Order: sequence, then C-alpha cells, then structure tokens
Amino acid sequence: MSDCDELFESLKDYLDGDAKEEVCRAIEAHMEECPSCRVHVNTLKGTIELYKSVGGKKMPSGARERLHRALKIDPRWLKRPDKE
Amino acid sequence: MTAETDEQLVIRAQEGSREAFAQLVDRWADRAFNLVYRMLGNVEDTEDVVQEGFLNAFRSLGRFKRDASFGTWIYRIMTNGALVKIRKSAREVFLDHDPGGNGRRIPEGLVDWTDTPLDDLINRETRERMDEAIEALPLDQRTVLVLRDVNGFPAAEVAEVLGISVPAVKSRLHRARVQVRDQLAPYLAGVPGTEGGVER
Repeated sequence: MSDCDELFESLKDYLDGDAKEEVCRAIEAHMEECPSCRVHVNTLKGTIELYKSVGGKKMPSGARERLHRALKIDPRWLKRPDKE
Repeated sequence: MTAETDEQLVIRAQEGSREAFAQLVDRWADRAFNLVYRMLGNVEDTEDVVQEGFLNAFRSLGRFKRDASFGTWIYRIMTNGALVKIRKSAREVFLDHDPGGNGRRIPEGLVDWTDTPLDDLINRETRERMDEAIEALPLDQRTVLVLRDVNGFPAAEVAEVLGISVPAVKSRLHRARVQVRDQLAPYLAGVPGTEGGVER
C-alpha cells in the first residue's frame, strides 16, 4: 500500500475484519511507515472498542414492569433456576 | 440445562406459548430499548415505542416466517416504530440515499490515546460524552452505528433491518465512527493516563 488514499479505500472493511489478508498486511505495513494513518486507525478502533465497552442504555425497571403488564407477562415465567 | 435458542422459543410461541414469548421479550427488551432510545433520545417516547413494538410483534407472530432471525425482525419493528414517532414529531427525516463521503479526513492534532487502558478511560464522564457524541450523529448514521457497533448486528442484517444495501451500511457506519471519534478525541486526549501518544 503506497499511499494514504489506498488505506482509506480499504479501511471500512479492515475495521470490520472483512478485508482480505493481503489487504490487512498492506494496511498494517503502511501504518508502520505513516504515523498519521496509524493514529487515524488506532483511534477509530479504540473508539469502537470504547463504546462497545461502555454498553447501551438499559430499560429502566419501571418500564420493564409496565411492559410486562401490557403484554400480560407473568413474572414467574421469567424465573431462571440460577436466580432462585 | 441449556437455554433455548431464539428460534426454539419462536416456534413454541407460535404454537401458543405465552411463556416462550415472554422469554423472547425478556431477552430482547434491553437491546430494543437501547436502539429506540438512541434514535429518539427520550425515555418516555422510547418506552411507548418499545411497548407498542412488542405488542405488534405478539399480534403478528403467526405471520413471522422465520426467514430472518427474531432479532432482525424485532429490530425492524422497533426501527419502524421509532421512525413513525420521529416523522410525527417532524424532528428529523431518515435519509434514503447515501450522501457519500468516506471519512477521508484526519483532524489536525489528533492524539493517539489508545495506549491508555480501557478501564482508565471508562468513567461516568466518558459515558456522558459518548452519549452526546452518538446523539449528535444524523439519524441515518446513528441508527446504523447503534445496530452494528453497539448492538453487534452483522452488516448484512443491519442492511436488512433498514432496507438499504450493505455498502450503504458500511459507508454510513464509517462516517459515524469518524464523527464520534472526532467528537471524543479532545476529551480522551486529556484523560489522566493518556500521555499524548503520537500527535500529527
């Protein structure tokens, strides 16, 4: 991979693990040579990892109870052996 | 005892088991809530949409042919419900076309904070900044990012939920990731433990 433009073209697939092995190797080799692309890729990967770790907004318990009532769900149906 | 798969629960629910449907709701409620909340940004509206979505799913369960996963089906229902809510309030429109662009831009002074351990980066303020950055995304990018990165759906299933192509999913996702990264970068570069790393 000779320049940054080629890296940008393949980056979407690379970040999702969908890039071919030779493309991955070329991107990684380019990053060794190019600090600005290295920062670009590292911080994108880090951001993805970060918001996966932070997790999502969970349903508040009151909302869950109202949902169960609306759907006529008996809470006893949801008891799991390891929680009893 | 091994937990039943979604598919097994769907089959039992279609045969009339309320308990099996309850298990599916329990399994998917948080993910559905997170998706809709990210789209609407409001807990009350989210609760309405999620409740109506699961009621719709229950009513139409007999017509679900199981050609997609239950998760894809429920996300499609929730996404459509959220879009109806948004259109009613006319706050935003969902773009059916891809405006292009590939995130071919590196901000000046971007600091590499990725040597800092995740545990040092994750705190209440990071969560708040992350929420703000995701909420600031245009709706079409936000929806793709929440489905793909936050909820972990494969790109092909995100495309199916939203009725767009896989390349459009990847393009929107990439722009969303770049925007979130750019918005968080100044904050993350200043987190204690981040030594500055490589700077452009």
